[in-house]
Order: sequence, then structure tokens, then C-alpha cells
Amino acid sequence: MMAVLRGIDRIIFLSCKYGALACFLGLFVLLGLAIILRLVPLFTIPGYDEIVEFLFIWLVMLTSLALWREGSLYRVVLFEDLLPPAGRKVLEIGINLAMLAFASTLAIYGFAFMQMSGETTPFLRLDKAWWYAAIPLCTALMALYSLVWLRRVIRGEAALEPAGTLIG
Amino acid sequence: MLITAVLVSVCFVILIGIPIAVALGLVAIVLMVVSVGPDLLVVFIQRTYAGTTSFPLLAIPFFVLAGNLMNVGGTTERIFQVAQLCVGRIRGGLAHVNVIGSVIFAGMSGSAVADAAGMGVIEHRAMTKAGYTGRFAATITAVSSTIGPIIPPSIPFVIYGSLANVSVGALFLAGIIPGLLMAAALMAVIMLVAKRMDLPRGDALPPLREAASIVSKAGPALLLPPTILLVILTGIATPTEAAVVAAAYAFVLGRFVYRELGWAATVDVLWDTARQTAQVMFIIALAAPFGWVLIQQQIPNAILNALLGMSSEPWAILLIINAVLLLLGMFIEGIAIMIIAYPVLLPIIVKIGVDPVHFGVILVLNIMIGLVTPPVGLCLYVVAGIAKISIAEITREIWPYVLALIGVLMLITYVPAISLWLPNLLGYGVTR
Repeated sequence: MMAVLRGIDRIIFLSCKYGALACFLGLFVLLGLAIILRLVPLFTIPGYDEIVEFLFIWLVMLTSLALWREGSLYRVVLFEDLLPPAGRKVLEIGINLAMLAFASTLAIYGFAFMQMSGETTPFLRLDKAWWYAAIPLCTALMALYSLVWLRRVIRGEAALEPAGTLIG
Repeated sequence: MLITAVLVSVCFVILIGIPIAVALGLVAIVLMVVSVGPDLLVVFIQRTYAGTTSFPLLAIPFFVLAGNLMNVGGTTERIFQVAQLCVGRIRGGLAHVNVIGSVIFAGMSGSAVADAAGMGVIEHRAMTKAGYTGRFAATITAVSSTIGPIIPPSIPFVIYGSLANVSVGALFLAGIIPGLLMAAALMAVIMLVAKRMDLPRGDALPPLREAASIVSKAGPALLLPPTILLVILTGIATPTEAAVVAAAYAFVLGRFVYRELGWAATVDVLWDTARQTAQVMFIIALAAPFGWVLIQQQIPNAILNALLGMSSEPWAILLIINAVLLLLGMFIEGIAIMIIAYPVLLPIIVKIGVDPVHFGVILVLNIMIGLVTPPVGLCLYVVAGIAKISIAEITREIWPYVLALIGVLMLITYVPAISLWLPNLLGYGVTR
């Protein structure tokens, strides 16, 4: 059972990593091409804005999911460091419950938003649900990972990472 | 009452250790549910989506990528050598080199953390090797890294410009003179400290041929800052697209000119960059509904009235705003402060007649000072990790430099021309 779960976790991580890298490279190529085509207007990129929007939302959501999975979203640990181990454990359980509630809410209402939008993109004529799906899909997986973290914290197996790297 | 409850709630959930992005989202969700019921949570998702896919924000991953590629591809090392050539000989020379190196790096990357983590490693190693204490080297490395996002390009300016609907080009130009003033102020303090501590002088100037070789090797890297500004000012690229130019340029330098960037390292850099981007973008995404809820609840107006009730003098209001931002900067990460503060502060500063471009510089400089003020200062943590010393050790040395930066902040706050002269000169049409 654990081996299956580990396998699923690995697939999710690799999908996040290489999906995000593909989006990143796609954005790089598209934006670079836009500059070149402004100087040498040979052709226009069909559905440029729509593709950029698609790649950007998936890049952000997939990578955020990877950070959530590792417990390395940026957070302040000042108060937590002052607590004794038992107090710290209680706090970590509370934090994980809050994160679970948050991710679940986003997943539920994200799915509702995706379903009720009914839009198609103006140029490519594609269902906008593919764009909006990034939020409910990734946050649903975040909720699952919060459950995993909660279990680990309750069993005393691991604590959340301290601060991640953040751009200033 | 509601204002106090909201602001206290945000600070509380951030300080107890809930990730900043989640904290902003949770407070917004609770506020929405309490005020209008859960049905409106679909709007929360719509705002989150819109907040994430704002086109100007695309500059963030590419400016981060440029900085990371320069750190891995050998560009940073060459910038340091040029800085050493410029100011290495005077007393405390390597500390000055540290500052000048950061100024040059600032013209290529828009991130203080990229400076501290990349340039910082080289600077700290060179300083300790030359006999400076690890504590002093770490202090200078931390404070000099704050120049990065003031001199263009700048990730915080891109975020502020995008959130506040202010020209990023104007903000970039507005940051140049304040960034140089910061460098001058830090170097002035270093000169005083160097004399008191009897710091060593650097090596004598190398022979002309060697100096020319150092400059020519760094030449392609040194062309990057003017290239970025040129493509923006001539309209060849928007600031967002200029970030792509910077990243492509850094890649070509590392891969084909300096030949220090392998394909495997490039993939690692891309993934690191995606992760650093998501750290910020996830906060920004959830700040969008948070800002919307604040405006729906008319909280900015209430704070405006409260502040105007305390004083109607612009100088006094600016002083209060600076004090609050500096205080918040000691405990909360900078981008989060910007996101929490801008919907509240922007109407206030417009009301008292301060230009939003000018205020952008004030706001970003405040959060940069927050990066090096304990107990929560991200650059302090990065540099302490590099130097393998405690935050407390750096904290003991850092105050003269922080005071110098606060002095520059006051100057910039009360002399708008320092920020606005250059954008006005180049026709960016700000109001003063």
C-alpha cells in the first residue's frame, strides 16, 4: 500500500516539475518570439495572449503544489521557535488543519467556478475550463498533501520546513 | 473595529507560522463568508485567477532566471573582479567592492536574495580570505544586497506597478538615483568604520594589461544593464519582455561566452527559478482576493480617515507610513507587506498629493530595509547561512548601515525630485 502511495507521490512530483518546466520554456519561447516579431513582423502568433495565460497559470499552480508537497511555502517561524516541543506540535497540527481547510475550500469553489464559467477563448475557441482547472486540480492535491502532513505531524514523524527562498 | 480585527488577524496568522499566501487567503475567505456568505467564494477564485495571470507579473520568473543564470554561469564572478578593480585599493577596499559589485549586479537582476545568495558567496569568501571578520563580511553582504531591487530591473517594482497600475518603466527610472544614493551612504559608513577598525587596504592595481583583460572579460556582462534599459526606453520590449531579454542574455553569456553553464545545470536553474517564482506568485495570487475584500469592506477609506484625523500634513502622514512599514518589515516578509499595504496606502498617498511612482520607491525601499532588520529579515538569513554565523552576530554590526539606509529613505521621502527627476526628464509623465 505504502509503495503504491509513494509511486503516486512520485508521479505527482514529476508531473509538477516537468509540467512546470514545459510551461516555463513555452513562455520563454513565446515572449522571445513576440519581441523578434515586433522588430521583424513576419507573422502574428495566433492566440498569443491565451497561450501565455494558460502557461502562466499552470506554471504557478504546479510549482506551488510542489512547494506545498514539500512543506516549503514561505512562512515565519519566529513564534514557533519560542515554543516547547509539545506546544510546537499542537501549533503545527493547527497550521496543517488551517491549510487543509483553505485548500479544500479553493478546490470546491474552484471546481464550481470552472463548471459555471462556460466560456470559450476568443481566438482559439477552446473551453476556458482547461485554464481554470489549474486551481481546483492543484488545490485538491494540496488538500491531500495536507492530510499526509497532518498524519506525519501527529505521529511525530516530521515538522514543516522553516522558511523557503523568497524573492525580495 | 473591523479594520483592527482584519489587520490584527492577518499579522497574527502570519506570525504563528501559517504560510503567508495561505494566511492572506484564509483571512479573505473568512471575511467574505462573514460579510456576504459563502456564495461569493466563486468570486474569490475568479480574483485569484486574475491575480495570477496579470501579464506584467510575467517579468518575475525571467528576472529571477537572469539572476540565477548569472550566478551559475560565471557572470557574477567577473562583475566582482571589475568592482575590485574600481575600488579595491582604498582602506576597507573589499567592503567597498562588495557594495559596487551589488550596484552592478543590481543592473542585471531584480532580486536582493539573488544578490545575497549569488554575489554574496563570492563577496564573503573574498573578504574573509583577505582578513576581514566573517561577521563584518556578512553584514556588508546583507546590506549591499538591498540595493538590488531599487536599481532597475526590479521585481518589487514590477509587482507594485502591476498591483497599483503604475508604469513599470517610470518606476525603473525612478529607482536609479535612490539606488546610487544607497550605495553612497553605505560606502560612507564603511569609510568611517574602516578607519575605526583599521581595515586592510586591497592589493595594488594590477598591471594595465591584466586590468584590461579583466574589463574585457566582464565587458559583455557589463553591457546587460544598459541593454535592458535601452530595450525598454526605445519601446523594443515592454519591461516584462525585457526580463526575457535579460534571461536570454545571461544564458548566452554563461553557456557560450564564459562556457561555465552546462545543460544539466541549466535545468536545475530553471527548476530553482520556477520554485522561487511560485513562492512569490502564490502570495500575489491570493493577495488579489484579499485586496478586493479590503476594498469591498471600505477598509482603505476607514484607515485614510483615521490617518487624516491624526494629521492632515503630508509630511507627518508620510512619516507615520514609513514608521509603520519599517516596523512591519521587522516581522513580516517584504512582498507580503507590499501586498497588504498597497490597497490601504495608495488612496491615502494620492489624497495627500504624493505621486504613486514616488510612493513606489518609498514603499520598496522600506521593504528592502525590512530584509536586513531582525528578527525576520530574509537577506540576514541567507547571508548568515553563507557565513555560517548566527543572526545575532550580524545584528550587532548592522545598525549603522541600517541607520544610513533609513537616512536615505527620509531623503527620498521628502525630496520627491530624487525619484521623479529622471522619469520626468525621459518623458514618463509623472506628476512632479
